[in-house]
Amino acid sequence: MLEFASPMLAWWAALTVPIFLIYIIKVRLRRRPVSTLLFWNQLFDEKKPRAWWQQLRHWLSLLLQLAFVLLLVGALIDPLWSWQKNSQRRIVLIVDNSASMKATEAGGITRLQSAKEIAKGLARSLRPGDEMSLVSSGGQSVVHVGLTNHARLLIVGITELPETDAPSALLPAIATAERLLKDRVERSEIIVLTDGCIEDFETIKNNPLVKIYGVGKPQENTAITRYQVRRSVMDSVGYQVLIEVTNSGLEEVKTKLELSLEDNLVDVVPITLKAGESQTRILDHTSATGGRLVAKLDSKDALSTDNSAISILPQRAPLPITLVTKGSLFLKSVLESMPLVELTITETAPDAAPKSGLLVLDRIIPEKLPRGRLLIVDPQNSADLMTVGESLEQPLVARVEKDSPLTQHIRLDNVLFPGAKQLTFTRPVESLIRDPLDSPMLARMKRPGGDLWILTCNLEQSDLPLRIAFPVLIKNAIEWLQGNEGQLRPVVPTGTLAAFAIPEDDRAEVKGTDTSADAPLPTQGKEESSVESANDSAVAVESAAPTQLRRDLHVSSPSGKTLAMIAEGDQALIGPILECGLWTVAPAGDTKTETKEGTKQVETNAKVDYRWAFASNLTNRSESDLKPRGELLTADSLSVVSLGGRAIWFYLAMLGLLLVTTEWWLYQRRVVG
Amino acid sequence: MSLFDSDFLKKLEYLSLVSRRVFRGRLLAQRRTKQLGGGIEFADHREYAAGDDLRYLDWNVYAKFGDLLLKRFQEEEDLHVYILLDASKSMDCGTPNKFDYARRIAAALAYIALADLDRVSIMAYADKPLDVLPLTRGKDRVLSILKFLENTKTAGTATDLATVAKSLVNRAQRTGLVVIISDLFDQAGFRAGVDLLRHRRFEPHVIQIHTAEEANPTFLGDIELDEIETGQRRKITVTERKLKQYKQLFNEFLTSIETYCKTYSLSCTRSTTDLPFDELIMRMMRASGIQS
Repeated sequence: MLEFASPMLAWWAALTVPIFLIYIIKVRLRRRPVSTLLFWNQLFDEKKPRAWWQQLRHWLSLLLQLAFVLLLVGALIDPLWSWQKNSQRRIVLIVDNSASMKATEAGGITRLQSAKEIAKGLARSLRPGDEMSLVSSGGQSVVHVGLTNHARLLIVGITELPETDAPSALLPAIATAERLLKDRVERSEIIVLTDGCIEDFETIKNNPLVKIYGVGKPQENTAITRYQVRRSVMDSVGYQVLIEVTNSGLEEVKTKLELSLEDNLVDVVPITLKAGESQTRILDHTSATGGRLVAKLDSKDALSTDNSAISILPQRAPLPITLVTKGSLFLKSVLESMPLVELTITETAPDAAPKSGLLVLDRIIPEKLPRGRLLIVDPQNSADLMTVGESLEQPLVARVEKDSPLTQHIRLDNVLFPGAKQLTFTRPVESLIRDPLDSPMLARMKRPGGDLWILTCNLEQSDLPLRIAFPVLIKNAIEWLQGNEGQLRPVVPTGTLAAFAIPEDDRAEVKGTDTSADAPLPTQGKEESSVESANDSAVAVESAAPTQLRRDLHVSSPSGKTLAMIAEGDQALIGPILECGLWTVAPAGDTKTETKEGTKQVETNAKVDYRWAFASNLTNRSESDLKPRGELLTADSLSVVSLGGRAIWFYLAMLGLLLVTTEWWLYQRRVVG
Repeated sequence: MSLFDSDFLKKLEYLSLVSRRVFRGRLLAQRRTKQLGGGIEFADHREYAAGDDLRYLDWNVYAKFGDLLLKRFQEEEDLHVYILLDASKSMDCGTPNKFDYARRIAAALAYIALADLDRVSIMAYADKPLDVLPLTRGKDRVLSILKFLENTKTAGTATDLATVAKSLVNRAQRTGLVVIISDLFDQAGFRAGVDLLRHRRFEPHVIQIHTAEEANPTFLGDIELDEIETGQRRKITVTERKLKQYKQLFNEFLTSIETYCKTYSLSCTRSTTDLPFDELIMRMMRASGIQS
């Protein structure tokens, strides 16, 4: 049943009357004198048109023109199918622009491009009264166009819908769609255009409002589904790479995994994967310099995004240590044996510890302690921050803080610390090793400008240097000093928020606004808060003082897009991350590290300060499995709903145009009068 | 500019000279008539019949063979040239005007005939004789012929050569050469008239003239055709296909004229009006020379 959106415009059909009259009256013909009609009579009398259409040819033109007018009137009155009229629909169109939609189908068209074409057809078929909204679900739910019946606006929104490398966030997108439709649920529907590579498929399918239309066909794909890099716990210059490769296709795959550091090939691992199989490899290599570590699968499949993964291997910077001693063989030996330690031995204490390094004071300490990080071993005299008392009666180790990173892997139960003295501090300290009377034997004091570690034990008399615990204790201290920069730079999976910690050394240089009354600059990395939370309240009070520094930062995506953001404190939350690759962060106004719009950050890797960068990868099994998780409605049926992507009036207008063209052609051929 | 200006007269004189030099002894008055009679040039014998003039009996044959045969001689007499000029309204069209063209040809032929001491008569006709110039002779009659032609106008509502030919046959004192200058757009057909002349021992010579527009019309579309001769009108739609068919039909018409004339050994000349008239006369004279 047909109804009409604008029946009043049917009055235009009256145009047929003058057209008919003009044909009846007939326009006066051109008159031409000729000497004789002999031949013309012969021609037209002998060869009279016999075919019915030839006899009607003068009427044919009239019929064509009347048909043209009627078709135009038909287009103007805008016919509607009864179901269209009765259901002025409210549609939220969710286009899945997740990573799997970048998969290339036959013909070189991505799934997202196909989905966009279908979406445009749907937008064009909107009737008066219909409303549609455009929401994307790649990584996060984004409303691109609110509910509107402006088809062009929707088409522009669909055209500009970006690709992402993030997993699908279809559930949040559906929740957003339901919020958009909540004021009137009847005659509303949520149309999802997706390839079906989504989790929670059944949950979504059971939603009565949702109709899921499929795009693309199942494809073979091999992907890197896990990828992390960390510094080796055994070797300070070593690192370990964890890689998981998954074949989500239906056929066995033989491929090679190439690992390169700063574009230098490090390793090639041949891998054979059965259908649906995953293999995990841990690769050990060494590098003190660190840099951009890229794992790449030598595979040409439908989705290239998951064939490579990137991470940042932190650089192991040398740690300058100044040892002030009059001949402590044990300290000298243990510090020399530490890799990446630049040891300087002196007998006179300097005014300050080496920058980013450590000053070790053996026995003799100045009255005013030097600035910077200090390790004081067996203090014999008092100083401004502490008082050295009598020897401890029972210098026996009674308690070691197991949870502290400074005392991890250390077993010192019932070990004697001969020569240990009673220590009194002017500031709160964290006692890491205590005697039976709770007197600190190894303590840590936080102070502005550099922390103190104080170990009271005569190394010459104790068997501590002969125990394995001694080098471990020193190593813990050094690694803790290096912070997390020397350990692990976690790779951020796309679709999640990246917690970017501003490099410790540069925190003072970053321009910011201090909103707290007295906000000392933080001196430690991320582990500091965990240490504090695990210790006594006195320490917690001081460490809990919030850092209220607001910093202006610029974040550049791997594709060169730049966005400004403000970081509260020493950590910036960025994201959700929607692109794979190397992201760079720069303080606002830092022209050296800022990137211009459109420039590829990867191209300027040589200039990238990796401390101000983080890597993101897809590493998502669900997205890499290019097979739908359930039965999807075919997109063709969606085209039927929208009558081939156009309204009826459009076809009527096109038919009218065709008729006019035909009439003109026939007139030129003198087929019609 | 008058129809017969000084240029035209110069061309006539030129044509006259050319005709004498090239076709000496073979043109018009210098041609023998087919009349047998009392001439001096022997033609043939026939059997003697009672009552025949014994002066013409061939005594030599009788003496030698004993047969009575009468000698026949070819009679020498002036050639009568009748020019039938189509003055129907169908001739009054085209550029240059078809009737003017026809009159110039008529004038040229009359001039040549008079120069050759032949007798010339001109009859303007449509569906019947409209105006007649009686037989005249002598070069000094040229001006009166030109004046006659100049005063002749197109008239009538049809063309009927048969009626005109009948009138000529009845009116003519003797047979002779009949030059028909016409477009031959005769509603009843021109053949009946020419046949009548043939049967009455006249020598018809057909000059068919038409305009280039008549041979190759260029108009297309919906048109009302107005026949200038009969006033008849017809609304037609001219398509490219119809134009092609028209040209084919017109060519068939011209070919049929030629075929007809060849069948009865008649001279036939056809031309469009854009051909200069003196060129046409030269072409006619060449054709006559080849035939004689």
